[in-house]
Amino acid sequence: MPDIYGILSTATRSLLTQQKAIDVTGQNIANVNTPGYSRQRVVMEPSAPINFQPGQMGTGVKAAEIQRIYDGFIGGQINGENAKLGQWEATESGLERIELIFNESSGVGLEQAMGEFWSAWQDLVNNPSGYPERTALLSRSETLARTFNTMSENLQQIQLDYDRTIAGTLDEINGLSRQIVDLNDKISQVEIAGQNSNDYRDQREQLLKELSGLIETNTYENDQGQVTVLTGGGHPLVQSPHAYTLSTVTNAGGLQDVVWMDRSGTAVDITTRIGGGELKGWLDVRDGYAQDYLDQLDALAGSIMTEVNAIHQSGFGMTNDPLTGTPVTGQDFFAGTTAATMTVDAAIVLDVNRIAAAATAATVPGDNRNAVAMANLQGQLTMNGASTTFDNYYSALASGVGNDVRNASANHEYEDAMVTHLENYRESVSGVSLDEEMINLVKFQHAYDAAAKLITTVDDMLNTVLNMV
Amino acid sequence: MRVTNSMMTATVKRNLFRQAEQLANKQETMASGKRINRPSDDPLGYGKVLDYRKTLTSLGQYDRNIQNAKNRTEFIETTLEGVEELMVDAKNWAVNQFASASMDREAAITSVQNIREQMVQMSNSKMGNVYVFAGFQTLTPPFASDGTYNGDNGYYSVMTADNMEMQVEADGSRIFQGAEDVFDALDQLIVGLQTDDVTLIQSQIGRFEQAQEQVQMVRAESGAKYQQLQLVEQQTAKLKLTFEEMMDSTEKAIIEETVIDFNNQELAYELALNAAAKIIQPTLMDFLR
Repeated sequence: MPDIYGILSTATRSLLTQQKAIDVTGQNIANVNTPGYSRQRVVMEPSAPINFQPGQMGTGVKAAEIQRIYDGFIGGQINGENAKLGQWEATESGLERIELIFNESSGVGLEQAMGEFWSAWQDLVNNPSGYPERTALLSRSETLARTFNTMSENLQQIQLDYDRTIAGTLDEINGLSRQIVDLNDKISQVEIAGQNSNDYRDQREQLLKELSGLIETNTYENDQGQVTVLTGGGHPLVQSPHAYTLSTVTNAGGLQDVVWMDRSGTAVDITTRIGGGELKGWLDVRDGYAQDYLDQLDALAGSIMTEVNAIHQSGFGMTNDPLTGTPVTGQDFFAGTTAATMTVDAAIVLDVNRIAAAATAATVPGDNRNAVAMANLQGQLTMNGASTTFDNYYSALASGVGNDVRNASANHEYEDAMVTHLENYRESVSGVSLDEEMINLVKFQHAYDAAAKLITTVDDMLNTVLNMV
Repeated sequence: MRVTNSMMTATVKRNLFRQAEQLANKQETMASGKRINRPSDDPLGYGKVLDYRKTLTSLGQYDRNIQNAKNRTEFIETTLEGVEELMVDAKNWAVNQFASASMDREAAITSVQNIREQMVQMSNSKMGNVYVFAGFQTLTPPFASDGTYNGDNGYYSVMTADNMEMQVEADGSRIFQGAEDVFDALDQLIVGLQTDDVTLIQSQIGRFEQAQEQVQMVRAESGAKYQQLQLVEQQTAKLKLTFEEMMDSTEKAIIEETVIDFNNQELAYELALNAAAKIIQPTLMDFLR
């Protein structure tokens, strides 16, 4: 009723509402540095008016709800780009480690080992019967084989390291899925009661972002406010009230494949269907890049062994075959099949005079024609279907590694800029500005002061009325 | 656009990191003096650097091969000069003894026998542990004392450039027993002197001349080889220089440019720090009240 007491109740509502606004401003200020926090505001509206003569009289203000300010579409975009960012970040860091293996800018590496190997053959050409030249050739050949071994081992080590990282990441993903299911529960309980679940939603969004950095996700929300999270090949990670787990199985190569477990515990291999996130980056490094470089190293080592052995077998050494009494021939120079298993043939390690410098048995000590043929291999088109030399094959491989690193780091930079841009946009909508909160604080405080003043005025009015009696 | 506090701090942080990273890159370039410190710095350039380095290693090896061949050619030249002198001596003895039948035969016989001995020794000359006139049979003395040749017609080949070979004479039978067998001529001369057979002595004069011509021919050939080797050596040196220059221009950083870049980057970093200090500090609170 619009009487003098009505003014008092208007003032009370005003005080309480401004106080709420100050409270929420305080909440915003407190969370200025909280990642993923969306600023909140009290939605004020006039309270229900009363019909009166000459017209409706207002009854003051009421706080209708506490709203979270956000853009419903930006979250999904950020998560999409964040998955790519995670992927390229992981790829780049893996490739940078691999690059070290191929980095020869200080002058030590496979190119140098190959160069010295061929040079040692030329030294043998200069003095085909020389024992020092033969010993030097043996040591150069062992260095070459060891360089291949080490590079191959290092690449395999990187594969193993990333293999372990992958298993660790799956634990993280499973933990996040469970937390999201919990938050789904809380949010739907709050919202069924007709409240806004502002802070839980912020938390859930933050978790979804973290999850998307690890593995590519697709999310949608149902009418109870619960999100469903799908990943590689449409397999759900979260489908409230269930969280599904990712796990690993050992594949034929001894590495871990990623499997999704359905509710009955049946495993589905999704290794090749993971589309983004750090997990994708690590899988790419392990199964793609590192494996590809290993294959190329194996091809190079294999080809060197085949070609060198073919020429070596046709030549003759200085040691006599104990059975025939004539110079040994048909001797392999290298043993092994891959870069990892390459060694100098054990017989040659024991007796360097078995190295075949001569082209015929009769011309043995002074004939260097087989050594010449061997030294000439360096310049021959032996790789890639007789289109490139050993050296060029390797330098192409090394610059290929450089290109891959460059590409990954360019993609990383691009995704970084994308995510930064989107986050700036999100921040400009949802972020807390201290300046703004200070202004609001002053604004609400003034309103609070004025409402208090109203009560004093009513008090004065009542005094006046009482004194009239 | 609404700009919030965390946007500002995030931007400041990102800029500082970026400037610091670039500064570190420039520092690395300056410290190593190289533009390319890893394959990804310039993948194409890195491939080229590897190729150049390989070429330089090969050229160094070719240079070593050429030095080796030059030494050998010089050694052969010196030896054959001595051989030729011995032949001239032998011929002089024949001329001398044929003209004056009675003169000092005994001394002549001893001298010619010495000459023959020296001739065998020279034909069995060793460079290092290798007989240079034995063809491929480098570990066997090529000439027995009776003049039998135990070597073969092998040669000594040198790799002077990619897929290029040069062959140096190593066939002793061609030098000592080609058109004329110098050992046989010496033997005949000794027999002639011992038996006082003037006709036999006389008939050796022509044979020595023939043998001398034969050695001269080989010397001329090896002289030509030597010149050729020198030519290839010069070419190799020139190529080496060219490739070194190419490698430097691909791999090395230009020092003046690097220093200027580094200073600019340092300045940019300091500016970013300065700006950060100014941006982060003030808030509305400083101005309220």
